[in-house]
Order: sequence, then C-alpha cells, then structure tokens
Amino acid sequence: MKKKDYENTINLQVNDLFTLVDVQTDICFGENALFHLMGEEGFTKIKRIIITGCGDSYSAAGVAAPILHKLASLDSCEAPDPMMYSVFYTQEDTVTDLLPDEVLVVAISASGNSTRILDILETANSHGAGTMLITNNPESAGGELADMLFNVKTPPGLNSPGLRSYFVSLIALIALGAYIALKKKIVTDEEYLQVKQQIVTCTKAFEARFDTIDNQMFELAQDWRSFTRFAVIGDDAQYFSAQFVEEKFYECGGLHTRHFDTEDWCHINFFVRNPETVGTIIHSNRTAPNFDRAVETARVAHAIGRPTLVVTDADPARFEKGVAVCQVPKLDFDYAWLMPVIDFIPGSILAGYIAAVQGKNFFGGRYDFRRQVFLGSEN
Amino acid sequence: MSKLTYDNPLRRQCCDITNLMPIQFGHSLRSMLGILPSIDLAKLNKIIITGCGDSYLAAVESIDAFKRYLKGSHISVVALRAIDAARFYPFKDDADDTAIIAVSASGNTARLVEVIRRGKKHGAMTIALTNAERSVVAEESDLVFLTNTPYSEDRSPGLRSYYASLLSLIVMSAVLGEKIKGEGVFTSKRSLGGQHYLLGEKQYVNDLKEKLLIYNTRFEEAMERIDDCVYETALRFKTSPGFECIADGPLFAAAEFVSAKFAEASGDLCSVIDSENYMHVNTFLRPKDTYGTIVMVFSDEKNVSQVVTSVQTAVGRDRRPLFVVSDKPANELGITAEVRSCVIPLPTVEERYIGTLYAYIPGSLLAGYHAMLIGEPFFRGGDKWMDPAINTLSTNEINVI
Repeated sequence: MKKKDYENTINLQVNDLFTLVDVQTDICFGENALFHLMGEEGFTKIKRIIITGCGDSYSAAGVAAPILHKLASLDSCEAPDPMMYSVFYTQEDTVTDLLPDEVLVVAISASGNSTRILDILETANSHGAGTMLITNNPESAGGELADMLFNVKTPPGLNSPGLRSYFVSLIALIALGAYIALKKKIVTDEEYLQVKQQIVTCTKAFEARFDTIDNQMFELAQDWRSFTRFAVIGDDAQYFSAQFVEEKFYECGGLHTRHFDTEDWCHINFFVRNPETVGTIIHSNRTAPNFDRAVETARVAHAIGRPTLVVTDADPARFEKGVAVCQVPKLDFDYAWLMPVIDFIPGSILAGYIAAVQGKNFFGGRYDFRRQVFLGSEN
Repeated sequence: MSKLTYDNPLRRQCCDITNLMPIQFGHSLRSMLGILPSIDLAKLNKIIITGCGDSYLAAVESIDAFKRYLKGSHISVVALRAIDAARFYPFKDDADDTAIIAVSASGNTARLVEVIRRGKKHGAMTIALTNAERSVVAEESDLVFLTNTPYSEDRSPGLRSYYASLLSLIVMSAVLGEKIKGEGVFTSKRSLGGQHYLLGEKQYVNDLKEKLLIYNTRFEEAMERIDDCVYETALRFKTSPGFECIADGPLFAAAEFVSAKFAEASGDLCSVIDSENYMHVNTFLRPKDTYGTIVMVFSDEKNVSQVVTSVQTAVGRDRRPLFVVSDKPANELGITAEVRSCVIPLPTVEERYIGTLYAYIPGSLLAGYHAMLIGEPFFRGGDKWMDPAINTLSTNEINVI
C-alpha cells in the first residue's frame, strides 16, 4: 500500500496547523483580541466560566475547562454538553452563589448560527451571566445575542472533518484563560506571551516529528483495518481530547467508538468482548499526576489482548512491550499542560487512514475526501 | 420461546428493585442518622461525591437531589470522577470545610483509598458510602455510611448496589436538608417505617419516602409489562453488533449505567450521546440498519423536540432499530418514525431524581436478555478477566499526590 493513495483531509489539515498556529496565536493573544470586549476590570471579576458548544466545539470546551480553572485561578470552570446547559441548567446552576458579572458563559461555534448555540446564549443571558461567543462569523445570529464576540478570524481552508476549527478553538480558549490570568495579575506580561510562544513551540516541534508519526499511523491503520470498534482513553483535559478523537472515528469511518477515563475503563469497558478486535488508544502525559495509571491501563489493555496505542511524550520504554507508542514531542515541563494542543493529532490521523484503507468516504459516505466535495448521496 | 428461558441475574435484580426500595430506604436512613451527629454542618461548605464505574454514576445522579434539598444553604455539592478526585482536583491546603463521600459497595477500590487519603491529607472529612463495613475504604474513612443492602445471590453485574448507593445519597440529601432548613434543631419525634427518628421542620425525609413509595408502586405495577416489552425488543435487537444510548440531562448518567451493563453482561460496546451531539457526530455510525439504539426521555422536559428530531433522523436517515423509553408512547411524543416504545411512570418534576432510580431498568433488562440470547457469559466467564494480575482495581498502586 502506498500512503499517498490514502492521504486525506485529516492529513492535509494537520499539515496546515503548522502555519496556522502562527496566525491564530497572533490573533488570539493580541491585545486587541480581548481587551475591548470587557475592559480590564471586567476580566478581573471573573470567578466562574461555563464553556460549551456542539460536536468538536464541545470537545474543545472540555479540554479547556480544567486548563482555564487552574490558569485563571477560577472558583470553578465547567463544560456541560450543549443539551445539559441549554435545557437543564437553572439560573442557580449558572451563577451559583456568585454575582452575575462574576460568571462568564462561553459558547463556541465557527458559524455562530446553530439553533443550539442560540439557545445556549439565550439561556445564559436569561440567567444574567456575561456571554461570549468564540466564532469565525462576527455577523452571525449568535454574535448578535452574545455580550462579547471573540472573532478568531481563521483564514479560509479545509475543515472537513473539523480539525483546524478545533485547534483554533483550543488556542482561543487558552488565550482567554491566559488573558484573565494576566488581568488578575496571576501571570506577568512575559508569562502571558510565554503561553503563546509555547503553543507555537509545541506545534512546531510536532511538525518536526510529523512525517514519522504520519508513517506510523498509516502502518497502524493497515494493521487495524478490519476493526469496527475503538476506545479512546484519557483523563482530565485529555478525557476530552480523547472525545475529539472519538468524533473523528465517527466522522471519517462511521466506526463505533467511545472515550473513557482510565479508571472507569478499567472498571467497565475493560469487559468488552473480543478484545483483540477493539483498537484502543490512550492519551498519556508524562508530567500529569495520572501517568502511572495511564501506564497501568495500557498494560491491562494489552494483557487482555487489546491492540493498544499510547500517544505520549514519555519514553516508550515506560510502556509494556507490545504496546504501540506514538511519541509526541516533550513539552517544556512548566507548560506540559499544553499537551492537548497536539495530542489529538495522531488519533485523528489514524481515524482518517483507517477509513481510507477501509475504502470509505467520510461523513457516512457523503464526503469524497480525495476530491474534497460533498456528494449528493452516500456511496 | 418464553422470556423466562433467558432469565438472568440482571433481570432478577431489576425485578426485585421495587421490593428492595422500602427496605433499603429504612437501612439507609438508619445509617445516615447514625453518622449525622458527627457531621458539623455549620462548618461544611462543600461535599464532593466520588466513585468508580457505577458508583460515579450514582454520585452524578444524586446531585439534583442535593440541589433540591440543600437549595439556599451554604453547602455546594459536586460529583467527581475517581481519577479526578484522586489525582487532579485542586484541593485547598486546608479543606476542613469539605466532606468527601467515597462511594463503593465493595469498599476495596484502590483509587478510592487514594481519594480518602488525599482528602485527609488536605484536612477534609471523609465518609465511606459502602456495603462493606470492614473494607479498606471504610476503615480508612472518618465515617461509614453503611448501606446494609440485604444479601442476594443476584448481585452481579452490580445493579442493587447502584440502587442502594443512589438511594442512600438521596436519603442523605433529604436528611441534611431537613436538618439545615430546620435550623439545625430536630423538633419532633415521628415514626417512619417502624423506626423512630427526629425530624426537622421541613419534613423532607417523610415527604421523600411517601413520594418514593408512590412511584415505587407505580413502577411495580408496570414492571411485568416493561419486562415483556424489553424481551420483545431484545429478540429484535439480537443481531446488533453494538448499542447506543441517546439521553440528555439527568437521564444521561442513567444511559451511562445502561452502557456499563452492556459491557459487563453481553460484552457489547454501547456508546452514549446527548441528542444534540447525535446529530453532529454519532449519526455517521455505519453500517445503517444495525446498531440497536435506546432513547431515554421524559415527556415534560424541554429537550423533547430535539430528541424527536434525533429519533426521526436515526430511524429515517440512519435506519437505526430504535427503542424509546419514556413516560408516553413514542407517537405521543411526536415521533412518527417506526420505533419500539417502552412506557415507564413519570416522576414529578420536583422529584425527577426519583425517576433516575428506575429509568435505567429497561436498558439494563435489555443488556441482560441480549447476553442470554447471544449466549455470552457475564464478565466473559472469569479467567483472565478476573485474574488479579490483570484486573487490578483493588490492587493497583496507591499514589497519594
């Protein structure tokens, strides 16, 4: 098999991230991006953030929530799914015991026009919280509803299945967290810019390993080509980057996939039958407090016969022999929490290649990734 | 073939829940009142409930009850995944205003021992909610909230234990609420289920028991019909290569519980998705015509229109075999597509958490029947799956950070 014959719109988008990162960090970390939205005092008041969105945007929200919680020293930061927030959150759930202007609800939507996003913003507005829309469409209906519009101004480009937009959402959310930290004087100007620089650095470091990782994922896709079930495992922010990879398996190959945290996988989905046909991916960060549990989970998965891939910045020797290890770049120790900026890439590439070697078009057969066009019907 | 040919421990547990309810309520209440004097409510600002697997889901499902009964109080309650509580949650250095409730029926889970030790390190009060008084989680905790669930041969996969944990947490929420809203003064002595205990002004516990008994009776009356309906569905879903649940809000964790029962009983992968994200992501699952899909919805919630949209798409475009669990037949929800319908009683809006004590039953029955129909042994029949060198839930390294 020649890899070139199976290249697809996931690979192409990943290639684009290496230049997109410069553009998007300049936009999202620029003083003009956020300052005019709330002024200095407004940002310093924020104690609680609720982030939500649909599909990939929900995954970005989930990744960002624990990061912003710590980075901006918030009382709380959570990422409910879009139905949970728009339908089931009460005013008390939104505001808790805080003042309304201490609470910010962030909705993420590239188009800014989906009905659910409008529902989310209307719910948040009715609860009295501040609302922000992170979007690429300032003229959208959501832009009209939100108190603040964070226009990420993403350059036109491929986004099917959504990968560039997810990457941009992550950058925007981290920039928001860093900016709140800056205005609260939790970080200095220099440290604020260092967050930006580290996003660029880790993305460029990934670029240096891209060919190796791309080849590795293509090889693995051939080994895993007969599988129809997958599990993606991660904790904390990586729980949601695992969810993003899950989404790519659905969108690319229509493959039955679930994400889990390490502990609950070991308790429950460990028992899924015919383990030798369940491709299992584990996101693991060598500096994270769960590292030993991720190593143990990989050992257990391998022991019951699961074909297992670990995406990690750790030394491959830390994992059981027989476990495939995709080594992503080691990040600066103090910024290792930025790993979700890159950890979703190998699993996404794998999802694209598996669909391609299985002879499928993306999106349930409706998207020809070679010609990059949506078809009138499935094939 | 009669459904009894495919009787199984999961089914028997489901069918016994309505018998268990009044007994478990009494046991949970007695235990809770036993530890109540040791809880300094004036000092308490935060309750963290955590657990692994089903126990985490019980924690999630209990939150609405705590919100209801502690509304307006100074106490906030959150449910955390065990790995988050053990390794990630940013405890304050001095967390003596925090109580950690570690939920584990067996009480021997390494991660929860870790949570207890971590909580203690930060000065938090620790409470084991367990059915095993002499377990390591119980022994390491400051207080033991014992469920005392009556013994049954049929206890695996865990369903009675989940019910007991969730009911105990709901009882706890009512007791705490009653004490707080009664300004901490227990004002009278009443009889409840043969026990004597002191009530606060709000009478939350009495009200809860009355409403539970009413709903329990309604569910008991419906159980045979529900079981028949699920069995018929199981026959139709027999060839499904996997399953999916679609649910929102309070029913999402109930759907996660159903997913867990599929993994344990039949070994099937069962995904769970909310009705909005179904349209964005899981709608692309292929091939069509194959994946048995369970939808859970209450007819008086505001998500019904989105659920109907997702169902119409799942059946019409994705041609999914679909099973709707609701308090009304699917056509009365506005679903015109051909689906199978299982009607369960509707709990009141104020006590919606009572519904979550039962809403997982149809899906759990389905998981049990499916395992029997395809001849799959529960928990894969032991062997490597229970080998302590592989299944290390109670033995993996404890690392208190």
